[in-house]
Amino acid sequence: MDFSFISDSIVTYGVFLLFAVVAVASAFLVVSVRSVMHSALFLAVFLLSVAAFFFIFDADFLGIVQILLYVGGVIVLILFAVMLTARVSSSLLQQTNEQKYSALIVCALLFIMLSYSILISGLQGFENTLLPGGTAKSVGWLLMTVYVLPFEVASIVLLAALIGAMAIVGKKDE
Amino acid sequence: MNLSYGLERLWLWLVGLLEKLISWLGLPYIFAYTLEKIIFAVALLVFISVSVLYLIWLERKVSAHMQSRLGPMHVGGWRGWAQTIADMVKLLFKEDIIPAKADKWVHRIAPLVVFIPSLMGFLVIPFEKNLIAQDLNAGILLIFAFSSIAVLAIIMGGWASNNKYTLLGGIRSAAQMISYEIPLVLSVVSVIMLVGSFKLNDMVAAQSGAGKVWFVFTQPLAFLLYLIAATAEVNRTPFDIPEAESELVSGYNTEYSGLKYGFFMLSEFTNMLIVSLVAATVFLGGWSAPSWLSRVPGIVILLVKTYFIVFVLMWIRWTFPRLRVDRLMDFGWKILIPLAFINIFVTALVMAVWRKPTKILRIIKERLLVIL
Repeated sequence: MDFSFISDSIVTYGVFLLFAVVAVASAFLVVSVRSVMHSALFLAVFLLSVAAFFFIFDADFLGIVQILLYVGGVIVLILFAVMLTARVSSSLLQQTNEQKYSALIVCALLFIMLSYSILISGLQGFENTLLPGGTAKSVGWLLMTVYVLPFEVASIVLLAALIGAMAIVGKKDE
Repeated sequence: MNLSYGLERLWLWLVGLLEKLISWLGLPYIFAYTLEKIIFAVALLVFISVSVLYLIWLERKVSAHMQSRLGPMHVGGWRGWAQTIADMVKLLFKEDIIPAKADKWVHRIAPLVVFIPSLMGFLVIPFEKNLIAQDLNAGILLIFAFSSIAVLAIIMGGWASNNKYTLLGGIRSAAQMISYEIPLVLSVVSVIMLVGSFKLNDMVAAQSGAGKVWFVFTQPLAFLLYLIAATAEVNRTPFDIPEAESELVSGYNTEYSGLKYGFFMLSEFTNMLIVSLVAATVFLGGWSAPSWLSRVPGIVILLVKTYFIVFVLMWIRWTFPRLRVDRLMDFGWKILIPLAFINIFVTALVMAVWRKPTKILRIIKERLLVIL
């Protein structure tokens, strides 16, 4: 298997492997540790290593946005909710139920299917054709021209969620 | 030789020498590149630690003089300049206590998680045109991204200590920093729109030279919003709810002692330094200076501007009382964020009208004709 698409440089390749190991290990720990708080923290480690992949593939803008939104936003919100939950600090909390073995089989099958389809695809599309340098300008240009419909749909979904949240919070009289 | 870029020339000369040496040894270029970055990082670390120690001393002196006191006067001789060094040595030798019911590993890692991201921001700050660790395309966003990780560390520290005061401090800081990060980024967006780039060097270039003014004059509202949001982001009075001494026994870091407490304190001042550096670069022209000051090195110009912002932040801290927590949230969401959006909207409008007046007028005319 030819992995030269990752980088020509042996150093970058090593860094990629390091973060790949970190990402897989932390993703495994997210679902296997007992404490919900620790799960959330390992999820932060996982998201940071995904950001590192973006940096390795020269998409610094995407990497930074990944950190800004996921680690600085989503993870902090998760931790905020976890901290306000009373039962979190007890280690008796079970993360899994009796269906964990069937879930394991499904995950393994999904992994095999994805790996197979990625490997037979010949890894096309890594050639930086769409996003040279991953700059904000090209991302913005694509969002406003080629992908304007998904962009608008996503913003409508977000608006609906926002109004829904306000409607739930706003019921003070009852 | 032009005196005005002394340090920059020294650095470029050093880089050239290093590259020649590496190629003479027959090694690939990546060794020279890595060595350059390591040397720059070490120099940055020295600069950061020295200036942070000095900032702590300055904070104590400024607060003392604003309250008609003298502050530290004895250690080191002149005005107690060695007081923080003595304090740091004391912190180094103090016993490191971890509470018995604490979450030990999270408690241990939190000081590192708070300190390392605050150092990362310095990577993209141009001290002079070529005196920059890595001129990333998304420069200023990187600073905001890494400063948002600091919240994570405060939550980790507050939760892992297993103490109700630290937990309250952690929750408060999570709420505050999430709310104030939005106006912080939005206030800079208008400047990004004017410059058309995230690179801090491009922002400096847009403010220096003939006929160009600092963004503090063209974007005064953005500067004000940035300063307020930045004060909240570094947890200083009037927004120091997360560590309100009188309510929370200093909040998330109550259970920390020794070197770990030192890390929390250092990162607080490092964050203040970086916030001021960004303010000086984005709004006050960075390392560039008016032509009559062209013989002064750019790094000196930048540091003078930075320390002015630092002094303003200290001034604010020792002048205003603390905001109540609900008013803090109201202020962030109902005043700062709408103002930031209005600023962006007006900037965009002015840019559109200013740059393409004939085109805009033609479009309006065509639309009117269609309607009629």
